[in-house]
This record gives sequence, C-alpha cells and structure tokens, in this order.
Amino acid sequence: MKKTCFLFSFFLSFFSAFAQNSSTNSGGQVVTAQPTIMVIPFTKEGEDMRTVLEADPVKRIVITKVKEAFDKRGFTTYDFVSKLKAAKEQNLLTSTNQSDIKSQLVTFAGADIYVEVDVNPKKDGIYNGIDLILTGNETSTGNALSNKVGNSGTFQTDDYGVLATKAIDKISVEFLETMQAKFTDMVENGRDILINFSFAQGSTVNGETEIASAGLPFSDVIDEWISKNAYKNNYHLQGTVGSSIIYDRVRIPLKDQATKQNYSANKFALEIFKYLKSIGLSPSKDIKGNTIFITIK
Amino acid sequence: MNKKIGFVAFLLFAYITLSKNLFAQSKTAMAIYNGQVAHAATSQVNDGQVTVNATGFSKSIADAKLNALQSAFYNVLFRGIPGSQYSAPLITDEASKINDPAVQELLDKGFNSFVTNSVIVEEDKKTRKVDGVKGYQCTLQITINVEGLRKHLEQKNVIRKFGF
Repeated sequence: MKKTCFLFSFFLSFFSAFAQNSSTNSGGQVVTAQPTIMVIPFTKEGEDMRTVLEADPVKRIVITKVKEAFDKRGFTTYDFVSKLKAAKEQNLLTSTNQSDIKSQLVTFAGADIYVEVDVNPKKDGIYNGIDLILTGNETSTGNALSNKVGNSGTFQTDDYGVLATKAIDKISVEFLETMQAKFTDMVENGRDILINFSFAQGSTVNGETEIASAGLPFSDVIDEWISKNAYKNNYHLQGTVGSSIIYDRVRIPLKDQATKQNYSANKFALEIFKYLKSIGLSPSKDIKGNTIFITIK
Repeated sequence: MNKKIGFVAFLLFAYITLSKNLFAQSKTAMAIYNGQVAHAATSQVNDGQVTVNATGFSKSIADAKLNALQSAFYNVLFRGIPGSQYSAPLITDEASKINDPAVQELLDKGFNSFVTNSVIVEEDKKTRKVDGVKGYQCTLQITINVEGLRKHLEQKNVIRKFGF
C-alpha cells in the first residue's frame, strides 16, 4: 500500500512538472511567432547614432514614416531610441566603432531584421530634394530582404521634412511588398539560420577526428546530420574558418512539422546538442537570435 | 414516323440549347477578366489608393462597364499595376485562390465597396462590318481603395497579414 502511494505520488509530481499552466492554457491554439524588426538610421564613420538622430529632424521623420508604414500593415516594430537608451544604461555597447555599436545594438534588441534608413538631402540651385535608401536585412545571416531607393523630386522649398515624406511615400508600399514576398518564401521553404561549430581550447576533437560510432571524420558526420535535418534538405556550408565549421545558411521550418507548434533556432540547437551527445561528444550551445554556436569540449 | 421526327427534333433542340449555354458560360469565364488595364495617375499622398484606366467589352454598355470594373480588380488582385506603388499583385498564387469564394464574390460584384471613384473616359459602339466585332467598348477611370481591399482579403484569410 505504501509502495503504491509512493509510486502514485511520484508519477503525479513527474507529470505535474510538465503540465500546462491553467492560467496560460489556450486550448491548443497556436499563433505564429512573428519576426522582430527594428528601424535604424544609417550613420557614417565617426557619427554617434543617437546624436545624429537628435540633431536631424529629417532623419527622425523618415524613421517615423517607415515605422508608420509597418504600423499600417498591423506590424509592431522595436523602437530604436528606447533600445539604444536601455543598452547604454546597461553598459552593453562596448565598442567605439559605430558599425560594431550598430550590430551590438541590433543583437541586444533581439531584432531578427533591421531596416536601415539612409537620408541624403540634395541641392540644385534654388531647388531641393531628398534621396532615400532603404535596406532591410536579416541580422543573423545578412540576407537582404528588401532594398529600395526613392527620391522626392526637386522643389523650391527648404522644408526637408515634406520632401522626406514625399520620398518615403513613393517607396514604402513596394518595400514592404518585397519583404512580404521573402516572408512568404520563409513560410513555404523555411527560414535561414547560421550554425557555427567550434572546438574548445584543449579539446581532443577537431574537424578531422574520426567519430567511432560513425567511422567518419567529425566534419562529415555533422554534414550528414545537417543534410538530413535541414528543412527540405536546404543548407549551405560556408566552409572552415580557422578551426570553426560554419554553415551560413541552414533552413528550418517556422512550425514543427509534427506538432505544428512554433519552431525556433533554439529547438534546432537542442536537436544538434542531443545528437552530439548521442555520439559520445561533449557539446555546449549558445544561441544569439538565429545564430547557433556549438562548442565541442 | 411523325413521333420519330418529333423526338429527333426535340433531341436536336435540346442539344443546341445545352451546348449554346455551355459555350456561353465558358466564353464568359474567359472573357470576363481580359479587359486592358493601365495605371492612370499617381496620388500626391500615400493614401492607399490606385487609379487605373480599364477597358471592357460586351454586348451591352452596362455589361461593358462591368467588364471594365472586373478587369481592373482582377489586375489589382492577380497581376499588379505596373508604374504604381501596387506593381506587385495582392494575391501571388492565382491558381489556388481564383476559385476562393471570397475572391469570386469580390470579382462578381463585391468590388463596389472598394471603388472610391469611377468616371467614363470613353464609350464606343463596335460593328462587325467596321471593327470585326459587334458590341460596346467602354473605358473607365477607376480609383480603387487597395489598402481596404488588402484588409478585406486578410480578414477573409485569402492572404496572410504582413509577416509570417
């Protein structure tokens, strides 16, 4: 009797640990996780992003108009100024190089996609105009999602705010449509992640080490696994950089094909981790956005 | 003998009537969206609208106008309007979506609520002797609320919202 009660309590506590919290139970409904997007200003070498934005109302207008275009499509973007402020307060921006600060900020914000806005006023005698360059890129892979150049035309006015509005209004719809076409491709064929395999200092394993259970070098073993598990067998090996093996493009589905739940780089990393452990290796994993870092000890 | 002749005449009549109807339906299905559509004007503000010149042809002037409107919406939905902000179609997969009930309802006459302006540019009666066809050709300048149309298609699950 005591044994039965003990076993009953054990199984009850075991399953309770994985039971759905009743407060968050949605009855099985799944909402597709959306990409996170941040709109940032283009800055030249030596320019401070926040200073540039505070000093230039035209840039602020254009960034706001781009965000407004996303808002009109029912999509919420990350606010660049708030993220920059938070990152500075936490002393997270460690470099003085503006390109590094930009990538650190985008990584800190956790933005999957950043849209860079480059505003160029131009003068032709008494006529003024604005040229605008919009680029949207995936943070992890650098894939270009949308690129558009717009110009306001030239007018006899000094109101660069109005000129900026004209320029952005001409291209915002097409810019978003191009991005949406790329999203459709991701929905159908998966999205790209980047995987970096490296070896810890002092590790006895490297890319050429034969894995006993497979009878093949580590690099081939991992390539076979990626080949089988990349969504629709779609992947690309960038090559070996130093002692790292880098797959710069591995497609994973947006939804788990078995459970129809959202599927993330984190879950794919876990599969890699479990596989490497099953073949007798000691891996550790680190995920930054859609980039997976696997280190073999 | 008379009964046999009468029966054959009935069969012949039924065949002619039935095949005429089938032919008429398939001809209507092919002809319904093939009017010429071109971008007419660019709005000064990004107001979510596009203005096109659309030409329709049919046996009656009323049907020619309808044909022009349907062609305009077909192009916005499945072809895009080159030269405008809406050069990409709203629906990229025509094969799987053309028979969607929401799309068919839209192309039938459901488009009216998305027309913000419609002006007759040209009306022309065509004759077989001169033009090789008999009927009416009508060109309309139509302003379409594309963003409203997009939201309608999203609500009907014909297209995805922006994102995944």
